[in-house]
Amino acid sequence: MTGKNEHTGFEKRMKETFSDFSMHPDPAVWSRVEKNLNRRKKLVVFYRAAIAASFLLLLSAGGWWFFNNYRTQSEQQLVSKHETAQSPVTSEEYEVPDEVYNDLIKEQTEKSSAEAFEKKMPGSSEIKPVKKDEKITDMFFDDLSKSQIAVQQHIDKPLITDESGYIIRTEDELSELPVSDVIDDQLPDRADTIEIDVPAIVQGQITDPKQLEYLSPDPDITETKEKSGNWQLAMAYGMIQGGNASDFTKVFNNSDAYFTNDPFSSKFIMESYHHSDIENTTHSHPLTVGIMINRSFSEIWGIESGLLFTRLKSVSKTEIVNNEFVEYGNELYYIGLPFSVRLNMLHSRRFGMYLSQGAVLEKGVRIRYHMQYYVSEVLKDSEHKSNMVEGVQISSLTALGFEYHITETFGIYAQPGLQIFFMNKTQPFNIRSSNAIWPSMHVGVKFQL
Amino acid sequence: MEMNEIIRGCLDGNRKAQKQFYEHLAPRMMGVCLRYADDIEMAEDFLQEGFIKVFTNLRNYRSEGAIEGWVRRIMVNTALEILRKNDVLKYSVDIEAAKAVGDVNPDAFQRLTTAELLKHIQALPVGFRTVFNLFAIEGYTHREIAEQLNISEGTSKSQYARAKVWLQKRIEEFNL
Repeated sequence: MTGKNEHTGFEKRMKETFSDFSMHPDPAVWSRVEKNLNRRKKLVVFYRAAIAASFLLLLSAGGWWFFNNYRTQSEQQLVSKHETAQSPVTSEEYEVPDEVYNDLIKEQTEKSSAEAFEKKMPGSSEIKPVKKDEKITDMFFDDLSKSQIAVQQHIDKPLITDESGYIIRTEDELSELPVSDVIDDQLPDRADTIEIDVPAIVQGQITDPKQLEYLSPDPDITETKEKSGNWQLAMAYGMIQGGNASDFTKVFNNSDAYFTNDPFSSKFIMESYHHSDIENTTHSHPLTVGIMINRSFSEIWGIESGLLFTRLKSVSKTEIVNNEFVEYGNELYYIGLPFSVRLNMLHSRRFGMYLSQGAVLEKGVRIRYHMQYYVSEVLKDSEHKSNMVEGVQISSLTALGFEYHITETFGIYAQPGLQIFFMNKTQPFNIRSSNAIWPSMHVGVKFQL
Repeated sequence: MEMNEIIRGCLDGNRKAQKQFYEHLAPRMMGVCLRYADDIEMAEDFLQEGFIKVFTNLRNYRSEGAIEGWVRRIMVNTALEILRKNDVLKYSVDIEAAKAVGDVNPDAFQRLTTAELLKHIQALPVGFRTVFNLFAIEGYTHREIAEQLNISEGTSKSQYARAKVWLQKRIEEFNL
């Protein structure tokens, strides 16, 4: 645009001449644009729904396969448990099975309260606790940690234009132009030079069609630099329906029941396996609170992670016999690390809908449990304990999220979904032990960062 | 309604806002498309495809620059893309070589109305017209045109020079 530039007064006048040039197009053009946009909108929804459906189908197939295999092994184990129960051995005959052994029987013989239990439940000292089995489901989790997300962003250097779209160049940019561009202002006067540069054209014929072949230039359609506002911070609150099992077989004899034989659980098992007197088990509503952070990589997808704190609470009550019953209760606290991939299905300034698929790794940080012995509904004896929780709980979480943006930076969301817990017999008895598939619901607020 | 508000409406998929956006910019963009097209029908095709791209990519628009400039560049790119798809550029005819012609007389161009000048530009073979538009009116350098159209810089320069001289000759004849 300056004297150094190859654009002269002629080009400037041309530019000025056409800068305000306009002409009203036929109204039919807008109708065609509108029609096309409607069709595209339907197609986008269709494709996204198709992707989501395929994804869910794949997930269901995987889940079906997993639980089919899991059920088979679990049922086999259940049979062996019942065989053990049908032919109890005496405590004298019982050999302590190294680390597998839990201290339930020791506790019972050492504590005076155990005598009461023995009276109430004759034969309990002959019971062999359930052995800890191999972690048969571990093999299914190995691949989960291997998934990687590759992120690629394309960044182009944009041309700067004035309000009318003409290119504006800085002095630095002009200095970068090759010397031939800068000095070659008088090309029309130097046809000879042109002949040397492009002999095929000067001869009046196009000998190489490629000289007029064009590639598709589309530098502006892609983003020119990383968009701001790709990060979201969410405060999540989740609660799902609790459960109540009046038939103890639903809790233990269900093939999905799968939990560690910690002292609390072992007593519980003993009650249910040999005396069948668990009247009901009530699982309180699992409660989750946490912070989530989301990173969008494009309009279509993003990833999400965060920190979740979950509390699980269960209480089981034995049948009343001679006005006596025992209540077993536990309270579990988990810290969870979720990681999920988001697929945006609909996105507008106010509303958003997305599909989320991920896994949650939870580490139990504490279990508090109690046993309370009641006579005529009066508490006669109780025992309270608190322990660390070993092992981890892994689950997959598939959810459909709905967002509403109240302002550009603040919004609310609800994310109903389905969580499948991969029971690995390292966790104490809880709501997930009796049923490995649970609905999940997270609601909260989101901040655009 | 202010432009920013219209753009926000467009981003929400609001058809009314999209129509307002279109009505605000379509006449000027039609002016751009006409320079790249043989006739009005072709220009309207460019315009239609260009606006569809604009609406589907509006989320990528960054508000630092003027919206008109952003839309204009999409229109130009769309026109080039369609010309290439239809192989129009590949089989563009050559124009007679212009040798030893003197300086272009700017006055010859100034005596014309914009519409008349547009007619002469449209009469250029499509390859020459494209280079002429990109260089003289959009402000691209020959190096950028060469990169954009996958031709050599020399080709861009020679086509532009010859288009300019060809136009002058034609306009001089027209003025007589």
